[in-house]
Amino acid sequence: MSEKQLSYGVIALVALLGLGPIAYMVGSTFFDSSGFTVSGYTRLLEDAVFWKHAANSFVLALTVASAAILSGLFLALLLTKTHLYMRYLFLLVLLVPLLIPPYILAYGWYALLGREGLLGGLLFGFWGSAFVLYSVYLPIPLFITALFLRKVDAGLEEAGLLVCNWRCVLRGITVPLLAPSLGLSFLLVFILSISELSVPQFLHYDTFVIESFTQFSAFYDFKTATVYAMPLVIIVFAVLWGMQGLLSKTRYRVSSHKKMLMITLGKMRWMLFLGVVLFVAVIVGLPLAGLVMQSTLSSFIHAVSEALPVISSTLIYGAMGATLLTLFGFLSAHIIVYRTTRLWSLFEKSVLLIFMLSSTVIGIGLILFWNHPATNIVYATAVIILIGYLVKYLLLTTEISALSLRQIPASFIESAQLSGASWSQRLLLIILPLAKESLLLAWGVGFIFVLRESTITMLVAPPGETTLSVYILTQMANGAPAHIASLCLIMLTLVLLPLALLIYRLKKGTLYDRT
Amino acid sequence: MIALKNLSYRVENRPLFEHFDLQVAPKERLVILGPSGAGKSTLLRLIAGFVLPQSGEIVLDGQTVSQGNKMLVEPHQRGVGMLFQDLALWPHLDVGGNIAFGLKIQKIQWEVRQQKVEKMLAMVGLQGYETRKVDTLSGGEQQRVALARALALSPKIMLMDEPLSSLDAERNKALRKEIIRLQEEMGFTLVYVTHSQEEADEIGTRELLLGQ
Repeated sequence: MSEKQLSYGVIALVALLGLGPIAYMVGSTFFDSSGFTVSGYTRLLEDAVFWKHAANSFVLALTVASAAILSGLFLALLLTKTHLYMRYLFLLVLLVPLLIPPYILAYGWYALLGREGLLGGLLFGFWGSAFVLYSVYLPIPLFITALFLRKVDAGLEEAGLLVCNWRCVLRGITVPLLAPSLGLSFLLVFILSISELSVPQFLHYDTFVIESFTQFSAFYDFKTATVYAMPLVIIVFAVLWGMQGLLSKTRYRVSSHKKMLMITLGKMRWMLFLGVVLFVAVIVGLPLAGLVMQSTLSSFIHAVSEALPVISSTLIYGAMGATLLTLFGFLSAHIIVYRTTRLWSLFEKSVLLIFMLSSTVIGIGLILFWNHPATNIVYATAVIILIGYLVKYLLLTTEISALSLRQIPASFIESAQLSGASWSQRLLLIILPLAKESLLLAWGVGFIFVLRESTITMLVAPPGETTLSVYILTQMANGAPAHIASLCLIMLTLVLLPLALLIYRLKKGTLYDRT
Repeated sequence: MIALKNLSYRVENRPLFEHFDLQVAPKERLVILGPSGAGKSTLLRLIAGFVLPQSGEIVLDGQTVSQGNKMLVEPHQRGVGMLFQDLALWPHLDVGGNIAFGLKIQKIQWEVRQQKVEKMLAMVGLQGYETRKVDTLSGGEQQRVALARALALSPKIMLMDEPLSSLDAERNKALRKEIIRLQEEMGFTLVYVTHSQEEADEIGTRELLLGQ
């Protein structure tokens, strides 16, 4: 098999598994038994409930994205550009909400505040949903901005410092240079918030994603569910277009020639440190403390023994999903970085598009596409769940592998080429060993994201198949509070354990250690 | 012999070579000089086959290896060795692994391979270094390993892209002599790219100034 054939094979498979269902879903909304029709859309546009839910969704996503960008920028400056005590630990802890299923945070707050009183009342509805989603997606602007901050040319800031102080340099030079990264983060948080199902569903805030899910799961009305999901597809296309523009602007606005300039905090250091401690305690500590408080040792042991079969199957799904994601992520990165076919750019955009589509859209697409007698071997088995994981999270493992492949000098590969190594020998003997640490990272990230996934599994899982994530969501409807809190803690352990192992590897300095 | 005939190569619509001709005689040591961006490294990459010209012909040892933008002979079949500016030593392989890589690809027996590795290491003065990790070597030692690796497949043509630029003056001088000795001993044709006039004067039997 040639390099081109393998590349086209991977592209064709991703197109079939990821784009096929979406295209089929979009197409299906325009046809019924009588032929071509737009009646579904006419009904949707005339539906006052839809407009109310759409407005709710927009307001929620706008609020979350705006709050996350503002605080993400401030925290990124504080935790990357100053010598604040324990700044790396803070960065790490603030990452946790993004890695655990969002509904765990929502349930943690519920365990802490309950439903009554001023705070309990605020939790259920817009403010609670916005706050929980804010804490979940805050790491996105925080980490993207931190990454871009490292690329801002120190010379530009030094030139500014000759005429004014740091505050004015940040306002007039650094932050404007970061504008594309802030825009990018805003779009990402916006799209993820508007697509989120479990948090607004648990906290009783109606959005059109919930409506689409309800039409499907409660009324089995595929048509309406699909039509309700279509605005999300359109929004994703619009956001992708916006991101494309922002990414192209970053190329000439930032560069990295000198070491990053650090800001001295002086007397403010302790005050800011305490402020961050308090912030982290509220955002991460309190909801997790709520879970610990509600759980008891006996309920925890009971939950472990009762959910043991589900935990086992979750770990198996996690391992299988992560392995598939790592393999396809590596092959996809190979296509994108080495441009092995002319379709590399289109392929890269397609992987991004599928990642940005909500899990509800992907789930409904997979069902419509595969639910036929001829394809029952996929639809009626666990294969469909794995396909869902693969297409949804392929972007993450592709980007991790691509980052690593881009660090391998072209001369390493050219040198092997001159030695007579075929493309497969170059891939197996040079590229793979050099990228092996990143593959481990990709596997770990894939494992965590497969574990935290719930919507696709809920939608496509055949009878008898479930994961801990879905099991917890089911229990949240009518289970005993201590039992649910214990299940959430088990999930937390499952997600944080591989994270701790990955950090241990990172600390050993082996990841991305290149000569 | 190396012959570049009527070669044109453009990068993002900027012509780097237009109707460019060059001939290098067998066993000649041609040194290419010129400012940054003149196309010195690109010329080596064209000969090696890593990039293809838009038009023109490249002939190596009487065989046309590329015609226009058509690759007629793959890089590893051109009998070319290359010493890269960054040396391109594979960090996951030890010294012996780096040198033996091409021999292993050609499925040469282990014993023969070992003999060849030992011979090459002796040739560059690094006996006993087989199992050393490449990142534990000094700059000069790494340079010698890269040279040994490039020579292990006995290339007829050797391309060197500013291989000594990162060395101090003393090591640079010592390795220049080494390169000349190896070229005379093994009889390969050398195309050597450098910024340094001193290097060019010592190594080259002919000099070519690009970008003028």
